[in-house]
This record gives sequence, structure tokens and C-alpha cells, in this order.
Amino acid sequence: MPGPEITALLLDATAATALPRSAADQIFAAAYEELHSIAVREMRKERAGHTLQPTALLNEAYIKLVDASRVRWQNRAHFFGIAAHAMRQVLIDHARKSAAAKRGRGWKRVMITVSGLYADDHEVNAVDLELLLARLAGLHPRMARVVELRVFGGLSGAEIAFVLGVSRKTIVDDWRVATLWLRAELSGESAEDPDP
Amino acid sequence: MTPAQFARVREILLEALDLPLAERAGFVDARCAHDPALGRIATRLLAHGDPRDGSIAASDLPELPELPERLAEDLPERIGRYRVLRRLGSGGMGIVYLGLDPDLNREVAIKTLPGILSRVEPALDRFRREARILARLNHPNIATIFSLEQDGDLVFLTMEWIQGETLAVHMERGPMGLDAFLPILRQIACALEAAHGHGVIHRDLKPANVLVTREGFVKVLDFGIAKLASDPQDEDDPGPIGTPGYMSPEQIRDEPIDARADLWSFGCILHEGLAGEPAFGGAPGIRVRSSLETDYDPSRLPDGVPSALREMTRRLLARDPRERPLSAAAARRTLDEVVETQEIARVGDLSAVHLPLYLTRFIGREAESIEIRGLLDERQLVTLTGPGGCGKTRLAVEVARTLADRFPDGIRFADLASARDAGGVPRRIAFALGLDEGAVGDPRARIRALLASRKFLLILDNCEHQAAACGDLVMSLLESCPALRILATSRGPLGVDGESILRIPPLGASGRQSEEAVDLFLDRAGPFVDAKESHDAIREICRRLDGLPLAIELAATWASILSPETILGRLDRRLELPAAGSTPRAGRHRSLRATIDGSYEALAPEEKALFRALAIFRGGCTLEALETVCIPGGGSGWRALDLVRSLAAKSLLERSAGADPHGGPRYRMLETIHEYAAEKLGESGEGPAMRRAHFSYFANLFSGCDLKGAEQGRWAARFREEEENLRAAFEDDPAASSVAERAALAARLADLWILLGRWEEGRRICAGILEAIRASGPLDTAVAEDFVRVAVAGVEMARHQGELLEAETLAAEALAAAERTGDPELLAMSSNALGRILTFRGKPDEARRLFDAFLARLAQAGDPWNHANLLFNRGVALFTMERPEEATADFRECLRAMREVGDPRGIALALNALGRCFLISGELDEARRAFEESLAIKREIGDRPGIVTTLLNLGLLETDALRSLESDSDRASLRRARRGFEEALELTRTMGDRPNEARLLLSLGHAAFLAGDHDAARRRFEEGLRVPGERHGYASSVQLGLGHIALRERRLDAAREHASAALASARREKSRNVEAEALEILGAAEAASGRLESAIDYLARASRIRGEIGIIAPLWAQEQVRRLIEDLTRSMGRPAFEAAWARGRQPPPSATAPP
Repeated sequence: MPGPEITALLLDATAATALPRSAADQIFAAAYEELHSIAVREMRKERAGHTLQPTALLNEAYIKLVDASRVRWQNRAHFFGIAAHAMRQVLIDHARKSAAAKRGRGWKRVMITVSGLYADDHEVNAVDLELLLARLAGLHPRMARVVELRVFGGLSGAEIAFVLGVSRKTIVDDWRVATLWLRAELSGESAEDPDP
Repeated sequence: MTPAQFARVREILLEALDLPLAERAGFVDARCAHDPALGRIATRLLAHGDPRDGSIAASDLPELPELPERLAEDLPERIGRYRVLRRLGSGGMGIVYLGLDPDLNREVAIKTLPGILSRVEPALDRFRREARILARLNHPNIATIFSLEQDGDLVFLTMEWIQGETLAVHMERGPMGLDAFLPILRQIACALEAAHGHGVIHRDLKPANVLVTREGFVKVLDFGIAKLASDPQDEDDPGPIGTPGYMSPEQIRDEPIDARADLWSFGCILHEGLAGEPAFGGAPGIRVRSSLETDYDPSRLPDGVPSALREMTRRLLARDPRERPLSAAAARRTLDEVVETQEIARVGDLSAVHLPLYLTRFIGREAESIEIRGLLDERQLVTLTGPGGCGKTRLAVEVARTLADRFPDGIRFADLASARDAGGVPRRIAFALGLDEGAVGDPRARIRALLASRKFLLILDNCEHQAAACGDLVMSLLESCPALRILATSRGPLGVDGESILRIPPLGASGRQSEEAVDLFLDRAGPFVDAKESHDAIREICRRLDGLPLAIELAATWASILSPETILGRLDRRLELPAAGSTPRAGRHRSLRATIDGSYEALAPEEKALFRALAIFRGGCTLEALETVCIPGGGSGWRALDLVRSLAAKSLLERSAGADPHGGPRYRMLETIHEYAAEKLGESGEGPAMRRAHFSYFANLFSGCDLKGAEQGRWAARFREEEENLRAAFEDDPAASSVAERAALAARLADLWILLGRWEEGRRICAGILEAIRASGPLDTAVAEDFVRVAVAGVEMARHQGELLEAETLAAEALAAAERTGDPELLAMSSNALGRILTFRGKPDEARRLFDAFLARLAQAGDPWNHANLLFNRGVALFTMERPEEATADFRECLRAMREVGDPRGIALALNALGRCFLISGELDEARRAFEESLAIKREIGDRPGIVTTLLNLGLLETDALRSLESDSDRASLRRARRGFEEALELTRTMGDRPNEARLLLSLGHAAFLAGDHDAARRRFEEGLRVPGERHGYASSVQLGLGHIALRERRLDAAREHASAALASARREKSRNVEAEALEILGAAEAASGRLESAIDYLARASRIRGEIGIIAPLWAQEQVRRLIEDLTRSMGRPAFEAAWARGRQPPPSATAPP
């Protein structure tokens, strides 16, 4: 059953402003819990070479937590904006745990599917992506957030623009540059390598 | 790299990406001439653009509508036979998908019901039953369920897929205006009314379950599903079902619920929409607690919400279900009243655009559309003419749809095809305008009054059947309504001065219009035809069909099985056939005929039979009628739906969005096709059997008709929808029914004829039946019963038409027949009828003797209702005989009996009568209690004439009880009185109740006078005098009012003049009450002029009359007189005053008329 609480928290926020801190925290907690259990389930289902689709997980969590019929797209964007971050956190925590448990069962290599980065959907190692995002955040925090919302949240341009409070054009620009940068880094050929 | 460097790289990359691939390297080099390291980074990054053109595709960041991303593994390929297109969302229990039905090529919503199979079978059974009921109900405001199916372990529903926003989304935008919200509420109430009528309860009604389409149509979703979602047997999910904040207290407590639980939820929606905040807000726990523990406070509703609506919200949200309105129908009627009250009060309330909706796209006709729009600018009447099937109706509707801005006061569509006589024309138009048909009044005059000052567009469709009647009405409408425009469709002109006739040609044989014809064919043929490949064949088909849109549409439906080339070949053969029948048909007619022939012959035998049989209906029919009458052995659920769907898909049958939402959808044929079907029916020889089945169906449909209970509104609505069918059943074919059958049906319809004012027609039918019974020889018991019932109906209708003598004779005949049966119910009925007529004919004492006799005879044997009715009628006779104490006793006893029987209308009548008795004997508190209870009941059952009477009585009570006019409580009761009068006045105007309209204007004038607003008072009086019709005692009452005003304004001569005029007519009319009041005015005027002796004389004479008749003046007037007398005593000294007073009190030598 969609939770009336989360829905209500989302509805309380007016379309134009950000969610209050406390509401965001509550949504984050609920989303984290939900995403975590979905991820565990997915991991059990797929025996080897785990590929998670963060956007799919998020959609499922959304359907479980939010009465979609009552919210508007802005509320939805708020939710996905927070849940994208929770998704990333779930993956990081898994990675940490598996490192701690040494050769724990299957957490070592979690592949996630990203769309939009290449012509087709593409699998990347979750840990690699996390390290890259951390670096990008150091260079250009907003761009890193755009990637997070896009890759983990599956948000559209307009939705990201709404969540970050900037124009859609800025988001598109960020995304274009981030795409080039990520492709370069993921290809193993860092843009910053000294000349061969 | 530092963030600053990265930011520069970002700028350079973005500029470079906008350049053609070849120019980028040069651009980067130039920009980074002073910082080659940066240039290298930028160049390397650019290399990761699209390998083909180096771009970053814009689709990488899709626009909103394409989200949420649909994920392949989430989406099953198929569910059952449906292809899954995408996920629509999640409902209370399962996921909802958008699916495609491959057979019908129709999109459906698929609602999966996971885990259902593990539940006990009865739960599923019950749900199946309800789903079937809802599917058959086929109500426009209920999302239609197509099927309940199973695919392996998965049980799912397929439903109508509707695009729209939920009411929850609407409500988030803040409080909704009444104009926008009332139609939505009404449609929700209609949906509940229909479902409850079939025993289906929603159980989880909330804004999120109400879908509103862009056109403003409402679909209530998920009927009855909530209960399935949590069956009490299910251990995982115990506890109440519903949503906190919308769930009724009984649901929260998990007690057994009935339809009234939905009424509570409806109340929550009503409040939330008007107030912009939930009725019960806060966290779920708080919501639950407050709905269980606190009384809802209607003052939370914003100002400006009409009091009737406020009161209804309060009652809907009564924690005890017994205090809620009786039914959704009652709530709907209250809404109707609110709507109608506003209708007359404010211009713009008809302003919604009500036009038929079509499922198919409108193609072409651009030139004609422009021309019509232009003509409507200049001319008041535009008539579209042309042969049947050339698309006049559709064109008129589609043009009108674009004109909402030009006609801010509204657009309405009236289909006149089913008007079978001249009187039908104004009736159909009144129906389309939503005017009430009950009560008295000429519908023509009411239509004129309603449209008089409105910028309104009226579409009159199919005028050819009653061209003369249409012409007359249109002419009179246009004369009195300058801003009205009429767009008519007809096979020929209406022949009215100033008519602008536009001939609608078939879609042309050449040029642009021939392309329109091809477009039409392609659109209707759907995906089956390759537009390019078959273009020539299609163009040729259209040419052969003379460009007649209807013929093209029919031919296009063949495209699902035949290629256009084959269709062309078949048409050729068909058109070469010699025309059937003796008269050679004109080419155009022939081509249409040929296509209808073709469509008909392509039908399966079962479809053919249904198609023929449908010709039996007039003005369309419901699905149920269609199943019962047309499908041998009765309908078998889904099968009938399939046949109907199939005929509709072939454009042979239309589902119409009827003007009356609670009747369910109706199926009808285009006129041209109906004619064809009728011909086929005639040829088949099935006509007599069908007419017999038709009669039986309608006899059966109305066999339960009973206007004594709360179902009155439903029956009236049903009657109005089936009126043409009923008339056909009575009059088309005498062999279709026996006299006894016709008599039984007439007896059932009698109350409806009376209620809806079909007196002329009802009397004609009754007279025919009575004559046939008399001619068939002596009455045996069985026939006698029918005879009495029909005769009593005839009595009532004759009385309404003022044929009192005929009524009395017939009533006596009925009583004699009843005596022969000895049946107590029949005896009570006929003695009631006779007694009432006697009272009406001024023979109340004779009536009273009759009632006395029958009350004694039937005390034991008679049924309680008829007994109570006898008491009521005797009470009326006694009241008329000025014996109020005895009348009161009868009314009291009647009230007790009616309460026992539980007849709300009877209770309300008795209460109102009792109130009248209390009022004239000065027991004001008792009177108020009786009137208020009566009014509440009448509102609930929608007894509008009754509401008017009681509002009037209540208002009179308020004004009579006023004392000083200066205290706050007096001002408040004056306001209450005025509000009541105004509401009643508006009702009389919708009903055409002239006598009460005048009475209310008089009362409003008095109220305005009491409030000190003399101008308004004079205006109201004058308005009242202008209401047509002759009324006993009216003019003298107006004179009294004007006299009071003049007195207050110190225009003493004028006051004397008005009072003298009132006095003169009062003596003529033998109204001693008016006489006394006139004398009091004269007395006051004299006193003000210093003629004290004369003043005392007048006042003393008034006092003497009042003493004689025992009717006291209103309190404020008594108070005025009392003060005047005090002043006079003071200025003259007591002894002088008393002497003068005593002289005045002496009766004059020639006594005035007895009371």
C-alpha cells in the first residue's frame, strides 16, 4: 500500500520550494529502507553478475511509498531527487559491507545499468561510478548532482531543473559536459592524463 | 584540474558542441592558445561525443511526458490476450497497466488483483457479481468494467481507460468554485445513485478515485474493489477498509456498512472541494479520531456557499448514518436544486456547453464551418438543410463546439427526432435546457423567459419531423430573445422570416472536398487500409457513394474485412441492381441505400435480428431494454454487449450521452438507419411479435412504479426518457396488448402523468381504456380493479385541467365499481378521489360526510396508507369548513399513521397541514417545528412544489412573529424569511407555478417593507401584479402593502387612498381580514393628521372585526396598533378615549358580511 505519510509529506511542499529538511530526512529514510530491501531481493534473484537498474528500483520504491494518483509531477520529482541519493547510498553501503566481509556473497561486483550515457543502455561498475561521482563533485558539485539524479533517479531534464532550481538549459549543458567527462573516464582514458 | 579550470572547460566544450564537427578543433585551439593543457583536456573530451557527428543527443534528457521510464522487465509482454503497453500506476492493491485488446483494437486499463486466488471463493464470486452489475449498468459516470479474467495465477480486471486528472489533483489547486465543482459533484452523486440502486457500494470513495476528463466528465473508479481488496477472511490484512479521512465512522469501527457509508465519503469530498482543505485532516490517527469523535462544523465552509449545500454537507457528515440523507438520489436532488436556484438567479448558469460527444474524429467541412460561424454573426436563425446522411447534425455540433466564447451564456443541443407531436417540440427543448417539467405552466413561455436576455446558442436537430411546430416556436423565441441564436438541422427549411438557409452538400466529387471524403474513409477504416496504395480506389468509392458521409462511414467499416478494391467491386454490383420498391430512387438516396444494404447484409444472422428489432424503439433504449426485447431468450450478459459493440463499430448504432445522466447510456440509431431498420422489420414479419415484446417490456419496467416513496425522482426521470416508447406502446398497435394489460400499465403511469403534467395525453389514454372496458360488458372483479385505478387517475387529471364536473362523474363511477369489488384499497382510493373533488367543488360538508362513512367502514380492513390519506382529505375538508380544531385532530392522526407506514411524502404533507392549523391559531412555535420538519423531508425527497408551499408558510410565520423590527433577532428572522421567499420564488419560476410566484412576490414585498426598503417593496409588488393570471384577493393585498409604505413615508393622503381601495375590494371579495387591516391603516393616517376621533373610530371597527373572525394580525402590526392606541389615550385622556372606542366597537345597524 502506498504510504499516506510519504505522500502527505510530498504534498505539503508547494511546487516551487524545496522540501523542508525534516520532511526530506523522513523521505530519505523511508526510501533507503525500501530500496535496500528491493536491492537485497534483486540480488538473491540474480545469481551471478548482478546488474541492478537503479531507475527500476526507484520506480518500485516510488509505487510502494507514494500514492501516485495524488501527487503532481513536482512532488514526484522531489521524491526521486531524494531517493536517487538514497539509491547511491544503498550501493555505497553494499560495497563497504562486502569489503568488510571480505569475500561476501556477490557484493563485490555490482553492475548497474545507466541509460543516456551512451547510445544504448550501458552497464557500469557501481563502485567505479561512485568514485567518479565523488571526483566530479569536487570539480563541479552541481554537475555531479545532475548525474546522480539522471543515472540513479531517472529524472527528466525538466524534473532535474525543478529539483535543482536552475533552468533546463543549464541542466542540459551540465549533462552534455558530464557525459563527455564520464565517457572519457569510464573508457579508462582520463582527460587529465599527461600527454602520452 | 581545479574547479575553476573545469568550469572553463565546460564553457569551451559547450561552445564547441554547437559547431559543426570539422570546426571544433580549430575553435578549441584558438580559445586555448594561452593554456594548451586546457585545450588538450577539451579536445580529449570532445572525442567522446557521438562517433558519427560528435554530438550529444538531446534525447538523452527526455522531456517530462516520457517519464517515468518504462522498464522492460517490469512490464509483462502480455496479460491474458492483452498486449501490455505501459504501466499506468498502482492502485490500492495491484498494478494498473495500459493494455491493448487485439480483437477490438481498443486500449483498456488492466488492473491486476494479486493474491486474489488465495482468497475464499465467495469473495471473488461476490466481486464477479458486482462487476457484472456494473458492466451492465454501463453508467457514464462509472468507469466501465469490461471483464474479469484470469491468466494463470493472476486475476485481473479490464476497464475503460480514461485520460484525465483525479479530483485529488484538481483539489490541490485550492478551493474549487461552485460553478466548476457542482457539475462534478452531481456526476459523482449520479454514479453513486446508479450503483446503490443495484446494491453496489463503493466503500473507498475519495478524490483520488474520481477522475475528471478534460471535458469535465466524471468517472468514478474502483467501485466495490475496496471490499475485495480486504476480505475479512484475509488474515494478512484485517481491519477496516477505506482511507482515513474519507472513511465513515461505521467503517472505522468495522461495523456492517451500507450505501450511507459512501454518502459520508461524498460529504468529505464536498467539503474538501469547497473549503480547499480536507474535512478531516492531519495525520491518519488524528483523522480517524476526529471523524469518530467530533461533530462536523459546517461553518468551516467558506462564505457564499449556499445554505442548502451547507446543510447537506452537515447531514452527509452526520456520524450516525441514520441522520444522513436517505440516498445518493436525495443528495443529487439537493444539488440539482442548488444548481437550479442559481440558474435563474444569475445569468451564466446555463453557461456550460452541453453537446453530444462522438467517439470518432470530425473530418473536413472547413469551408462550411467558416460559413456557419459567419452566418451566426449576422442571422438569428441558421438552418442546415440537406438529404439524410449528409452529416448536418455532426457539422452543427462541431461548429457549436468552437463557439463557446461567442455564447458565454451557454450552448445546448435538443434532438427533436423523437418529438411525435407538436407538443413534443417545446418539451424536448425544455428537457435539453434542464427546465423542470412538473407542475403547471406553458413550457414555451418558460423557455422564452429563461433565454430572454442570454447570449445563447440553441441547436435544434432533426426539425423536419415537426417542421411547422418548430417554425412557430423558433419565431416566437427569436422575437423575445434578441441575443439568442438558433442553429437548426432539417431536411428542408423551417420557413421562418429571416431564416438563413445553408445547404450542406455531400463531400464533393472533386477538388479539396473529395480529399475530405477520402480522409473520412481512411479515418473510419482505421489501420486496415494503406492510404497510398488504395487512394484511387477509395476516391472512387466516395464518388460512387455521392460523397454522402454516412454512406462513406458505413462502407469504411467494411475495410476491416475487405480491401478497398473489393469494396468498390461490391458497390458497383449493388448500385447496378434495380432499385427496390416501386418508386425509382434518386441517385443519392440510392447510394446511401446501397451502403446500408451492404452493411446490413454483412451482419451475422444474430446481428441482423438485433438490428431489425431495434427499430421497435422510439427515442432510443437502454441496454436492458435492448437485451430483453431484442435478444431471444433474454440477454445473457456479455453476449449482448458484444452484439451492441459490434453494431456500434459498424456505425449502425450510437451510444448517446443522454441529457439525463442517471438513466444510463442510451442506444439509438441515426434517423436514416432507423427508417431502414423499420422497413426490414416490416418485411421480416417479426413486427407484431416485437411490438408485443416491446409493450411487455415497458409494462414490466413500470410495473413497480410507485411514487409514494423516496423513489419518485427516479421514476420521473425514467418516464421522461422512455416517454416516446411508452406512447408507442399504447398507441402504435392495439393488437400488441390486451385492454387489461393497457389498463394495468395506465394505472401505474397515472401518478407520473399527473406529476409531470401530461394531463391531456393521460386523459386521452385513460378515456380510451375506460371506454374499451365499458364496451366489453359487465365488469368482473379483475377488470373492475383496473377500471377503478384508471378512472381515479382520470379524475385527478380532469381536476388538474379544471374539468370538475367530468371529474366528479368519473369519481362516482369509480366508487360504484369499487363497491362491486368490495376491495378496501379500491374503496379508499375512489372515495378519496370523490371526496377531494367535492371539497374542490365547494361542497366540503358533503365531502366530510363521505369521508366519515368510509373511515368508519374501512377502519379495520383498509390498508394504513389509504386510511391515512382519507384522514388527510377529511382534514382538508374540515379546514375549508373553518373548523381548525377538528382538522388538526385529523392531521395529527394522519401524521401518526404516515410515520408508521414510513411514507416521507405523506409525513411531510401532514406536517405542513398541521403547521397551517397551528399558524392560524397563533401557536407559532408548534407551527415552526412542523414546517421545519416538513421542509427537511420535502428537500430530501425532492418534492419541489411542496418545498415552495412550506417555504412560503415558514416565511409568513417569520414575518408574522416579528414584534418590533428593531431587535437583532427580528432582523435575523426577517433575513431568514426573505431567504426562504427568494428560494421559493426561484423554484416557482423553474416550475412555472404562477399563483405561488405572485404570492411570493407579495410576501417579498412585505418583507422588504418590514426591512425598511420601500423601493424594493414597491418593485416586488409591481412585479407581482405583472405575473399573468387572475388571482382572488391579490390586488387588495398589494394595496394594503402600498398603504403601509405610504403611511411609513408620511404620505398620508396616498395611504388613505390605498387603504380605501383595499377596503373596497375587501368588501367585494368578502375578506374581513383585509378589511380590518385597511381600517387600521386608515386609523393610523387619521391619527397622524390629528383627527383623533376619526382615528379611534377606524381602529375600534378593526378591532371588532378581528374579534369576530378570530384571525389575529401579524405581531408587528398588533404592536403598531397597540402603540397608536396608547398615544391616542394619552393625548385624549382615558375617559374620552374609552367613550369614543366604545362607540366604534358598536356594530353598525346594517351588519357587514358574515365571516
